[in-house]
Amino acid sequence: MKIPVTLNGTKTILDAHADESLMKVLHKNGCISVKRGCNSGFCGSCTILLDDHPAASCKIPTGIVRNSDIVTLDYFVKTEEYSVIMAGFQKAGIKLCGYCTAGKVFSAYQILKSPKMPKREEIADYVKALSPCCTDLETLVNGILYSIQIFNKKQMRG
Amino acid sequence: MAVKKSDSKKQLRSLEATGFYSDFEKETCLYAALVRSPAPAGKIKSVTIPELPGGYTLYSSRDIPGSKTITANKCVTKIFGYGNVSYRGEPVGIIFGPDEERVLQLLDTVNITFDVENLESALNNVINKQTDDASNFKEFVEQINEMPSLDAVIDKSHVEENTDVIVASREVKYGLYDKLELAQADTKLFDNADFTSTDTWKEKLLTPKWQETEGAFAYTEGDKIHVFAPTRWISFTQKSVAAALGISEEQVYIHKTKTAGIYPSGLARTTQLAVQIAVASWLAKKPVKLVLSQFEQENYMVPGVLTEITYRTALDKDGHFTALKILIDIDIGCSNPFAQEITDRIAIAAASYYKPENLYISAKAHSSKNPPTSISMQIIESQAFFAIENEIQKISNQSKIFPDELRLLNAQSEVEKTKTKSKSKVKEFPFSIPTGDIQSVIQTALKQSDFNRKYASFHMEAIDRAEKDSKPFFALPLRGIGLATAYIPSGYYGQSGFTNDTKLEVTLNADEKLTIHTIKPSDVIQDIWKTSASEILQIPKQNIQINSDFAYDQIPEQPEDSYSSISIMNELVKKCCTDIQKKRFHQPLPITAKRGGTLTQKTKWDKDKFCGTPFYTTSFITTVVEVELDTYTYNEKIKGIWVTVDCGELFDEAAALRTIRLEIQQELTMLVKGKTVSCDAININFIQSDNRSGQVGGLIHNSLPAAFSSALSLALTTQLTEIPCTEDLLFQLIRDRTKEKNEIKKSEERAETKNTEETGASE
Repeated sequence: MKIPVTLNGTKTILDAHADESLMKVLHKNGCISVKRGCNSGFCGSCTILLDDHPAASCKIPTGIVRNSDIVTLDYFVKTEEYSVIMAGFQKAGIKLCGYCTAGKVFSAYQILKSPKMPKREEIADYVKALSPCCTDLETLVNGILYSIQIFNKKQMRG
Repeated sequence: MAVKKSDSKKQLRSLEATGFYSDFEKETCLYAALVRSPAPAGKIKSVTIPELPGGYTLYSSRDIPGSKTITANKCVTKIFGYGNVSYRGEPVGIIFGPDEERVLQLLDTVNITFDVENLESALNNVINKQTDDASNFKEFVEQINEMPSLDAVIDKSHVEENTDVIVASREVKYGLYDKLELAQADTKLFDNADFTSTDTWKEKLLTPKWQETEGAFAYTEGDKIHVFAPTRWISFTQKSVAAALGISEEQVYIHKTKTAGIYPSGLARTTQLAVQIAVASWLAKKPVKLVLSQFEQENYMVPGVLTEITYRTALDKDGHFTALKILIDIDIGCSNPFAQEITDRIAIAAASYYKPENLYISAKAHSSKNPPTSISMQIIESQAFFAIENEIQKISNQSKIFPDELRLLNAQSEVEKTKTKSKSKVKEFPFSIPTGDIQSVIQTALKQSDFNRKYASFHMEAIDRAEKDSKPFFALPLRGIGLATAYIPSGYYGQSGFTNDTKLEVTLNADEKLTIHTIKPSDVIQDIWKTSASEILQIPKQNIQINSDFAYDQIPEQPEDSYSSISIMNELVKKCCTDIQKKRFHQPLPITAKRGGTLTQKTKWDKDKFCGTPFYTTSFITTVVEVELDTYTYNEKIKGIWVTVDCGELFDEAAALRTIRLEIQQELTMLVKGKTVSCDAININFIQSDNRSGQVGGLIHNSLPAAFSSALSLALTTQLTEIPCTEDLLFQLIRDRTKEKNEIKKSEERAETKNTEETGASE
């Protein structure tokens, strides 16, 4: 079936079975940042921004995303927020393996755009289910906190 | 000559991992699935499919143009199963086509025909002999009864009589075991021992579900084939693909891809997958990709062997091990090219760094009808450490000697003890493990965790609870604390399959840029090399690069893990840079220095007698875990983990700290089946001893499971003998303990009543 969506800023028609996992469809459509991990929606490897909210694409049937705005990491890397997040991650000494990047970056993005300054424990609670394939929880929380710092500084200057 | 140069450049293969194999895609890419045997035994006659739509293909063993098997370390593996099936789920064919979903649907329609001719003919004979006269039923029954039994009729010549074959073994005898017969020594050592303990221990590795499942991608380009796979043994994959396709190795391009797994194996089984895909792509002349399902990954690609280790321990009242008898049973599945090395290393680790007065180790690896297994060099020993550390904790509980005292008392051999007193002629202990400052490492971890106070308090509370009340649970959570020590070796001298010919080439070019030519290590190790080289040669770090390009016929033969010995490689980098520095101002640039693993070190290990110093160096760890168990939900919670590590000279403390923290977090997902154990606090300390620098990766896996199970055992007042644990297992342990307790109580009551009756009667 033909499913119209806005994929990475471009109006696109996805040709897929309605019950096919969005993760598979996006990967086939060249969005290689969307990776298959636990297939249960926890590990974060398949995370996308669905209408600006992080979502596990492995649990989403393609049929229900009609007319949605989908952003994958392949496109998100061009944004300023991504640069801020990666700067924070680098400061914390995080070297992502590349398989889990979408989950960690989009989780950081969600925290970053929250109007409230989250506590350390709240961040840890939010990201603790993500796969610990390359980064431990404490370092990840540090990375996100650094990202928030950098983001706030930039906004102050702006 | 110039043409030759450009040709050789073209033939260079990079051994650096780039991208993930599942991300590689080409136009007209076809998706594959493996046809697997539904039965664990039998003789395959054919693999067919009744209706195959256009564009879809099924290949089996008979379609392979070249060699139908791959051979690693004399271990032969069929690329696609033929003849006798080795295990349930053995790949017997590959089906592929443009639509992945359709391929999976077609997979269900594949017919695997087994050889049942003999059975059929036996039944036909019966039917043919049947007379038409239905009334003559009695005669027909007699005919059937006269027929030979099916067991006699079926041709069993091809049926494997015994799949359970010992493929590797190792026996170590020391002390009385070396002088007396086994039974005699046992009687002498165990019959009058102050404390004895016997138990069997099992540790199984859970596969994390977040990692990329194994698979491969291949495409052809004229007479060349490109294969993308997360292999860690490129030379073997290249050789196997070339042999299977019947082409020259020069035509095969293996592209190493990244792996997101915790303990990547990437050896023989990854090669088998790469060859299967290469065959499909080569025959179809189209790009083909295979991504294993999560089920296949868990059932057929789990890296480790299954080990059961039985300890019989005798301890004197002073806390010295008078005897340690270790029986190791290793199930390697239907095959494993590294069976002997696995057996040897588990046998060495089974005694850990302890030096009992008498030691007997019998390790046997056997094949079975389970899927083939692989090896992860980093974690071979973990099952042995889990077993011995729990055994020590158990006998420490029995003897009421503190776990740390018991460990330190037994870290020194009889020879070492007598050397300090008098020069007696006691035979050297078979293993000399180059550990650093064991005492400081253990003491620091204990001090940080307040271990002895907590241990005594939890222990008393547990005994009290067990003695006073047989009820398994109170409202309050149960608490326990456990200690485990372990080492991780670097540079094993007893490699059976390959020579440890670690090689390195360093060139200082005319533009003052330094190139280190070898297999690229992790980012952390790269940084360490660059720092060392930059200090020795006084050049900026950014002028140093690591080159992993090799000509196809010069790719290192051994698996990459053999190169992971950080300490040996660090030494080689330093030596090469020092060599260059010496020549630097006496001869023109470029200057190249080459170094390899030195043979003199190998003499420390006697391969034939199986004794000496088996490793170049080790890193040592002590882990303390404090556990809390909710009495209603059976939920385990870790109150704290205290870790102290001695890895010799520490090059990058921050990176080592991150590695340990990450490994702890990964391990917490694997201790209990189906859930992640939460942990409140993690405390990590490093001690720098004079020991050669070793790796930190793998230390947590070797120690944390044992510390966790010891803590949990103390909390439960019963012994946990296997990991990962489950709620069912905990429930069963509690129930068994309560049952046992009740039976003892009842028998005591019965005895008391009997006594009273007898006294009454006599009065």
